[in-house]
Amino acid sequence: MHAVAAAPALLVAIAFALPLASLRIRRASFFHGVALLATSVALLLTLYGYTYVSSSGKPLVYRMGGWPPPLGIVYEVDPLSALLAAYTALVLVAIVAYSSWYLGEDSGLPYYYALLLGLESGLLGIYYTGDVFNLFVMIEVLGITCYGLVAYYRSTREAVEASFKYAFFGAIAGLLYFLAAVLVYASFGSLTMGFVAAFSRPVYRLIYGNLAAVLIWGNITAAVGVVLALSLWTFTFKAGVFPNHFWLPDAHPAAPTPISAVLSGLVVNAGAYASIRFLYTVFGVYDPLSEFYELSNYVKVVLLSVGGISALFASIMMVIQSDVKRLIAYSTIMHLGLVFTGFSLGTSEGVRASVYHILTHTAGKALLFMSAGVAIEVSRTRRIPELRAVGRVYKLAGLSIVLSSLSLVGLPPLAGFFSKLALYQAYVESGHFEMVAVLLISSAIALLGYLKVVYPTVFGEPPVSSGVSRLRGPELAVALALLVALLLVLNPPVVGGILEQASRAATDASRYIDEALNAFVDYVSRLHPAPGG
Amino acid sequence: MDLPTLMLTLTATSFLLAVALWLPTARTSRIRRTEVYLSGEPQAHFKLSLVEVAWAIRYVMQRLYKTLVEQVQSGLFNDWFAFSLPYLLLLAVLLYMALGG
Repeated sequence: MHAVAAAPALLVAIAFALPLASLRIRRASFFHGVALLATSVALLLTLYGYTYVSSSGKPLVYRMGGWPPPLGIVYEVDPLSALLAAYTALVLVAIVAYSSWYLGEDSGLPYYYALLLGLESGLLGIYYTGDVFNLFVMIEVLGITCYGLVAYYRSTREAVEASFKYAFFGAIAGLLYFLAAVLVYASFGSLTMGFVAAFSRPVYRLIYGNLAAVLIWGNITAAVGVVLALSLWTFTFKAGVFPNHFWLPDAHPAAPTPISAVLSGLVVNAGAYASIRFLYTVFGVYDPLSEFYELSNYVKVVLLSVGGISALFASIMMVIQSDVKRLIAYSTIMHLGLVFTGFSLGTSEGVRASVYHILTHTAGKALLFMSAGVAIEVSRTRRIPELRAVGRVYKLAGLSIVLSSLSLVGLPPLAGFFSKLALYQAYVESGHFEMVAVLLISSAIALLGYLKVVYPTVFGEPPVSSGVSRLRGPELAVALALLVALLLVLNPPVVGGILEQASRAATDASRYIDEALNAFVDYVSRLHPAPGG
Repeated sequence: MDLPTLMLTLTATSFLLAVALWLPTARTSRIRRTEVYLSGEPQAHFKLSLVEVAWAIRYVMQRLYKTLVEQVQSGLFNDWFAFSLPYLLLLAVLLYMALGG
């Protein structure tokens, strides 16, 4: 097995092993240690995958069970998917470290970590997969683990209700995406993304005419409109973008704080990534060589509209929240709306800005949830007016709340400023000045919401001494410091080249297609070696 | 349109129609309103308060908030689907028609 493909498999194996181990082992430190070790190994594997893919200059195709595409399932890892996978694994190491502080000796640790590692496996699978149906499986893995984690505090009505709502909507979204996958197979005759991408472009159908004649048995033109509609509905649900955001303000606050950080910082990214992959790589909606290029204006209008409405609606709703976690959850809807407006422009600058904003939003949001979680812990409440100034007794938590809020607002020199600047430039270069207004207005309104959190937690009343006894231990400090460092280093000189490579991988599908087709040709040529070869 | 695509499209359409027909019947006079979130923001949460940073915008936009909370983020499943389902139908009709389907 290639090291890149090992990460999701390893995480799933450990996820299943943990509840079994709990039959014999009771020590909390064991479960914290195993989870930290598993996520650290996953980080190393994903980092290796990223360096391998970025240095080789072409996507990596991993054939599951040795079956070639289009017969078997493949992972196809390019710089975009490898970057998001490695970044996800990095943030999850910080979140597991935070979890070990937050949950301490909690009796449900084996199940908590089983679900969390399963969630990470689902996320990595979504990024790595090169198969339309396998994407459905990974979306379901991600969804089911999320529903379980939202209902982790199952004795509270709030958690059960939020989880039920999330699961109900998720089941409909999964069903619709499943229907889309069926339609893809019924028309293209293949579920391999590289093959579907090739057959969406007439030039490849010309070159691989025999293959196309064997595989394509349906009307791809009629199918793709419906496929994209069903897929985009599902992906906007996963990303929590208006009007499919309704579950999010309930689910994210109801979960344990580290899971709120995972849901708001990482899980929503899967919807944005899948949209980019489908629109740019698989169906080439923004590719003039694609048969579906004529959809580009329609898709752009719809996604710019829902993204813009999301940003404005969520920023306005942030202002009236009195629950700190609910306020941060609305901020997620706002930022994902901005991400959708970026890549829906159809330009490489737009994709670059969206990917950049995904990275900065993830770090800022995870840090804000985790540091707000510390404030909640010492204040024993989530109500903003009653929050205590955790910054007075634990400077790193106070600093984290300020830095993450300012980064999410978009103030220099923090990472959020640079990604919003990239979005601004993408809007201007494509002539969408109305989106500049949306960006500025939503950021200005959201500033009021963030200040509501910053004021009591930094300048308010100090916490009572009994509540601060838990603010010790290296796990919390390491988790917060890692994300603070990310907010400071994610600036254009450091990540410019990485983002350029990722956006090129998204907007130029030729390498992605070539590697998928080559995997098939290589397999066939080995079955029938050339005479004398 | 070939037969498999037609069948799948009809299945999808019938599913959507079934949901659309079910929604009015799902409306009941006995809606359970719990005290926990259900996505609704209780009225008390956006009363005017001089001590909060965001008081001005909350005061100026009171009517907007009332509309958003009561009409959009009401917390009722039916209201959610009133937004999500037309969005799906809009996507499907727009993209299908755009390709000359």
